[in-house]
Amino acid sequence: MQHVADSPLSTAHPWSGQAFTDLLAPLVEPGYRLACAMLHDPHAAEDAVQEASLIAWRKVGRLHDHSRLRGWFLGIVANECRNSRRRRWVTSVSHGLPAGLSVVSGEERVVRNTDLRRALSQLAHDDRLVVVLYFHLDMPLEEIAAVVGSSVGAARARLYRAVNRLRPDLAIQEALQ
Amino acid sequence: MSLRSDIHAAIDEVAPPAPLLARQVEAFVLADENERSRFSRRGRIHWTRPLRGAVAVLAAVLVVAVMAGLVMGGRLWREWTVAPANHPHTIDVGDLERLRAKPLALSTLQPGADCPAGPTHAVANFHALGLSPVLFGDGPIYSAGNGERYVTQWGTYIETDYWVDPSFAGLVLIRARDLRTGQPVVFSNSTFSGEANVSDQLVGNDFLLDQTVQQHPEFVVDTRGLRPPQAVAYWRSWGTLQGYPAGGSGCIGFQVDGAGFSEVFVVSY
Repeated sequence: MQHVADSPLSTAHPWSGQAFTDLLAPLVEPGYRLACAMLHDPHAAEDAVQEASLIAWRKVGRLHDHSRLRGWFLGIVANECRNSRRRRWVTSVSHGLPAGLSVVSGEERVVRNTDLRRALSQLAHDDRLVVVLYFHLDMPLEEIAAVVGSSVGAARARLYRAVNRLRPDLAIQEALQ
Repeated sequence: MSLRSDIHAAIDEVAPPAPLLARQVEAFVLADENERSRFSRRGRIHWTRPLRGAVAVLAAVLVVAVMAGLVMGGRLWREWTVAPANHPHTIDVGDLERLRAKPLALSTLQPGADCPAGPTHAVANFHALGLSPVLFGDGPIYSAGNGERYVTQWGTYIETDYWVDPSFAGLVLIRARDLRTGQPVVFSNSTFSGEANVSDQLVGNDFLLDQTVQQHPEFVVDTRGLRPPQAVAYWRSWGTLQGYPAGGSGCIGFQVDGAGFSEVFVVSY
């Protein structure tokens, strides 16, 4: 099957490349942290951010409200992470944490972190996304809802459900602290 | 430790600092297409077709049932005067109904048959014409076939560019089906595809990257109303977000009808 390059027209918009990359620069690091949290693979995470940046560059002319750039960009990163996981699954190549990883270290901290990453990786994509955005990127629910593409209430419900799966023994308010 | 600090600790273990990433991204974005390939660790896989489970098939059947109900209950199209950006012309309802009356020539594939992707044309002077190097279709409407891929719980969307041979001007109707499942493909008039009104018929809504995506069962465009191309030699074009529901095969047949022509091409996603 042919690989079809993107149209030269699709790259045309009123932004200069430098202006766009300057605007994007402070979002690269949170995008990378998000991708690492979603993929558990720093190399794949860098690729996801790189691809997401190119998509954002091609689409930014169509983003009417530039104050929403962060949520919009992180949504693209999350989508790239989802695509990346699908590709890896289809091609049977695993760069992430094996489900049955055997931790030989006796350190309790290492075991706990490994268990938590495994539990995170077993959440559905959108559930994992809200957990990462809330706990790891410390984003407010309003912005999380914009990234996930849902209402604030739905994002909150998704977060509660995901937290309950991760820590069924914790009261939700305690877990959200 | 709190759950927050636990998650920070767990993720920090697999997120080493990447101080050069911002510079990498800048160089990647600003590079031209040819240079960009050396930045990628892996080739982009556009044509993969993920396996899908029985649950997804069941969900797709439900979606199709809902879509069919919406189509049958759809409102009549009396007059369509649309956004001046892409459609300064009023769509002639009679012309459109004549195009809609053309039967679909998108046959369902036999089980196990290969997806008959094509026909395609390689374009030698694509840069001069503002085209993709490989186009789907026999003309006068050509499609890039592929493009950026987005996945939602509803299904998969592909953002694709279409081009119009300069010899043609007029009303065009595009319809598409999954050739294995028979499921209709939807087209969107979200900001992804510019400001064109896609069709008066609406079968559903979805949410993608912070934007509402309206799902239409067909794409209607009067090519005389398209924006002038960016360069004199370029062909007129538009971008379309088109999607197929979860559970689909990704083997998509497109039928493009206009006055005096009808063309069919197949893309495998």
